Amino acid sequence: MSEDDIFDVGRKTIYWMIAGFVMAMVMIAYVMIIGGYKARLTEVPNEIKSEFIALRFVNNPDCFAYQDPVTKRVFPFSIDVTKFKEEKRIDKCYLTEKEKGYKTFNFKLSLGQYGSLQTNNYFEAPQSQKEYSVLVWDGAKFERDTLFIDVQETLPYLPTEEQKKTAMPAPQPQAKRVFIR
Amino acid sequence: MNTKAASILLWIFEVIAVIAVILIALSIAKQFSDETALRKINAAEDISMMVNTLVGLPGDALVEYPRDLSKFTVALTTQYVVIFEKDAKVDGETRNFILPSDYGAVGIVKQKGKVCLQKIGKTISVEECPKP
Repeated sequence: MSEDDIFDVGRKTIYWMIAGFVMAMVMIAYVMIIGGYKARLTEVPNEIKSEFIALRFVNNPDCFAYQDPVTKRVFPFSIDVTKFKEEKRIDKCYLTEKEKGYKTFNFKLSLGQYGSLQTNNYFEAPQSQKEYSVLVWDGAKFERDTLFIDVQETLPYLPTEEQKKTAMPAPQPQAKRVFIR
Repeated sequence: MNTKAASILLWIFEVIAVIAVILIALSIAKQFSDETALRKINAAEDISMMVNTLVGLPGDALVEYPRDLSKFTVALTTQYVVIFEKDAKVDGETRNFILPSDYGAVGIVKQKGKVCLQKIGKTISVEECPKP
């Protein structure tokens, strides 16, 4: 083997080392692009998911919906003030995992003069807001009111204790309002 | 090793490398384009949302899943729904949901075309749809 041949084999080896690296990068990019496409194909907007979850607050008598004690009829899109004021009732209705619950949906319900309630991993970082026109049962009669539900979707990290105390929102895109009824 | 031998060896290596890359790319594309996998993901997502919707209903209900699930097994527990293919108990598609504290979800349906979700009281179950 002459000196030129040795250089030729050496050049090819270097070429294939670089080509191998480039090919590996191209393959990784290819997998990521196709994976992203597949994820987009099966994606369901968070607004829809949160809508289905939030329905329980106004329709389920085990949450806050008013149920006639005699006929047992449940009034859809209603709020029973007694249930709304009951301590920890929201935890019976929707309780996220203590440790990692910030990675799923959390809600804050605001009902005019009756104040607000929030689920256990809500940290004042809403990404959207829902607005329901509801009937409020105050113990004697129904009144029309509006229930606002702030929806906090997945948070990238758990807010620090300081952030929790001062209710500092984690960095999030600007909240957008979703009107349902 | 003479020049010709080295050159032929490198040429063979190049051809093998190119063929390997093409095969890997095709295999990945085939795997990702598999309709069954997409249907499995969609079914898991849909059933999870159906469970949430049933919780948001004031009374009892029976809802039929509108697509054919005969290729899948659907298992429902109080925390999640998992869908896996006939003979592959691994690689199941899981979606979590949160039920009110005294609610339960149960059931397993194996390779049935028509799958229904039923809510009776505080229990949600998955089952084969009743015959019309």
